[in-house]
Amino acid sequence: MLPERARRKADIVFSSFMIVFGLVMLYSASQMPWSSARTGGGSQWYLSPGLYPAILGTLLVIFSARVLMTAWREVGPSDIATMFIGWVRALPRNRGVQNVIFMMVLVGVYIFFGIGSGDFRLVSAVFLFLFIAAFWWPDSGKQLPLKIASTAVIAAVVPTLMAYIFTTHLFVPMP
Amino acid sequence: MLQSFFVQLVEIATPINMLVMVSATALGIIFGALPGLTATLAVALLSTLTFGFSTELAMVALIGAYVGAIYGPAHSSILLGIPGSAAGAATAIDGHILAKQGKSGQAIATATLASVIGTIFGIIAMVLLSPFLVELALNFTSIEFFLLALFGVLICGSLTAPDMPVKGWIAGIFGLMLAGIGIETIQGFQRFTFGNPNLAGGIDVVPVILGGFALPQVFRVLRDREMKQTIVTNIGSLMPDWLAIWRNKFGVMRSGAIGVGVGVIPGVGEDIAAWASYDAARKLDPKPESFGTGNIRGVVASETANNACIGGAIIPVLTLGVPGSPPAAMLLGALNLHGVRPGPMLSFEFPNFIPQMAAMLAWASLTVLVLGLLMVRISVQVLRIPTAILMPVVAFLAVLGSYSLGLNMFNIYMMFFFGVVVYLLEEIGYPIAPVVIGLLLGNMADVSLRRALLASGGSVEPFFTRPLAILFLALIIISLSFQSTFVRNLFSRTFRRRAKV
Repeated sequence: MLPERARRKADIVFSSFMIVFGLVMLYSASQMPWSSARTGGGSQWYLSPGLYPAILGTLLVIFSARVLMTAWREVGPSDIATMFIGWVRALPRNRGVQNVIFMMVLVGVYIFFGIGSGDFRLVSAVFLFLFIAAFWWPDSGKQLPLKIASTAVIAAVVPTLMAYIFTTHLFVPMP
Repeated sequence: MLQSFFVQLVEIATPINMLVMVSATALGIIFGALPGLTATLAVALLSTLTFGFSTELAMVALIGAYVGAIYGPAHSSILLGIPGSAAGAATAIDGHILAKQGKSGQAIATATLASVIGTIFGIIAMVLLSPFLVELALNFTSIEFFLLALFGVLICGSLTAPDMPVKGWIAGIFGLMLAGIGIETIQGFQRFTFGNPNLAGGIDVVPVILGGFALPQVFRVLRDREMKQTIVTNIGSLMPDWLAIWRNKFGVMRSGAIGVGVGVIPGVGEDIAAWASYDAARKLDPKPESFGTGNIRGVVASETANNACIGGAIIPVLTLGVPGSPPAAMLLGALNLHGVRPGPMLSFEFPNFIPQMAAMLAWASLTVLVLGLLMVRISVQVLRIPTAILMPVVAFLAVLGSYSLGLNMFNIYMMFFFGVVVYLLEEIGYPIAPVVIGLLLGNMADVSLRRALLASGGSVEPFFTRPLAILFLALIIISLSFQSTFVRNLFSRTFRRRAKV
């Protein structure tokens, strides 16, 4: 979790977004049939498909406003932009965030571009090899050749084995 | 119920069931022991593997994995000092110190025994409480079901939000909203599908759970790279501290009761049960200062409670269709996949189902007793596997698991989307459990609300006149208002004034 001050700043931005989202939900709910004869009979307001989203939208606006008020009272909106710019400038030194972005991109590329572009086992083996290599190999020293070999074996065996179990025993074709 | 339980205990003990039970429990223990892998994830991944099984065999596997994965963190907490789950963190406080004192074998054996006792508490509660809850639930109308869903989401939000309870409520509303996507059941109107046919059938719970529990965990564990781990390899004697357990028998009973009580509350789960029990044990101990310095009672308290929570969490799943914890939510999802609709009518549709589940829990606890001790030395080896290898494999399994249920790529996209969103939300203090509970209860809330209003001709009066509805409303108001500083201050001032008088 983020440190408290940064979290409160993020709360101001996120809860404002959620209030807008709740209002959009309310608007969408209002556009749904409320007393139409859509299903043949004369529908009443309490049977409307818009009732449930309308209630949720209202609750979302109320609860998000509560978070916004708390965050506003505790830290205020004064230096949100400055903090954000500072966070962006610190990115080249922030290994943690870099790691997360790298993982998100790697998993995203595997899902959106990898799967379906070739044999599932091969694509998954490449994904696993790259993923393990990125986090296991750094600072390996003399153990690097052993780690490379182990990574290759794991990357080859896991997708092959899982694909075999799913297709042969569970009758699930691979994507 | 009791007689049926004993009959089921014998009937389900077929060789294939036992083989699956042992394999699933072993897998659960390994999963739970590995830091970063949770019971929810174990049940979620296994439910994709057991989709093709018969309902009974699938439940045997899932219950085995569930019980094993709740117990598993005891190994890593004691040997490594790094808990496999938040519940295991309570065990680690005293357990790892005992391990450093050369008593790791004794600590693990005692934790195993405490876990088994805890599971038995859960089974007793399940067998004794379920008939009453079914009886009560049969009096529920749509009004009570709507209020129950709302209460479940709000109480889960209150108790699982690490920052502000209102953030838990927002997470719950978000889950309820997700459940509203797709063709609604009363008028067949498409809500929030944006013309995408993949959304017309609604959002499946499995990709949300896999995305919400697997990917953020992978991101978090690898974010800061590997911690230097010092594993205690000297196991010593695997003999439980019988005397400590016997002297602490009332404490064990208290922990069991706390575990079951917390388990019954929707969506809260084993982590809170373990910490609540540990805290109660420390406060009521004659030597509270000894907690944190290697007191075996600390290990017993947390391990008894988190395993007692399993039975407690399954009770509302089977009787009301409301999950008591995130792994139980996954269990509910798996039951739905197998065409079993839990709720008050379950006892009529499948009269032996609840005793059968209790019998599975009993076999699982026996398996944990044997495997837990046999696998200690294996755990030492398993815990040496770097997380840099495990986490990518978990990400791969989450992708494969999401695809295997609906056989469509859209589920994988949803899993990735929820993984990223939940990671970001958790960073700013929004919990995932209420989202899952909301997603599971959303349809019940929506349909029940409109049915209730239809029955009353649009009047909200029955919401305030039916006794059970008033009870739920009171619970909702209490749980909401007690989060307000104004109300809390008002109460504390009133009590202080009375104390002075």
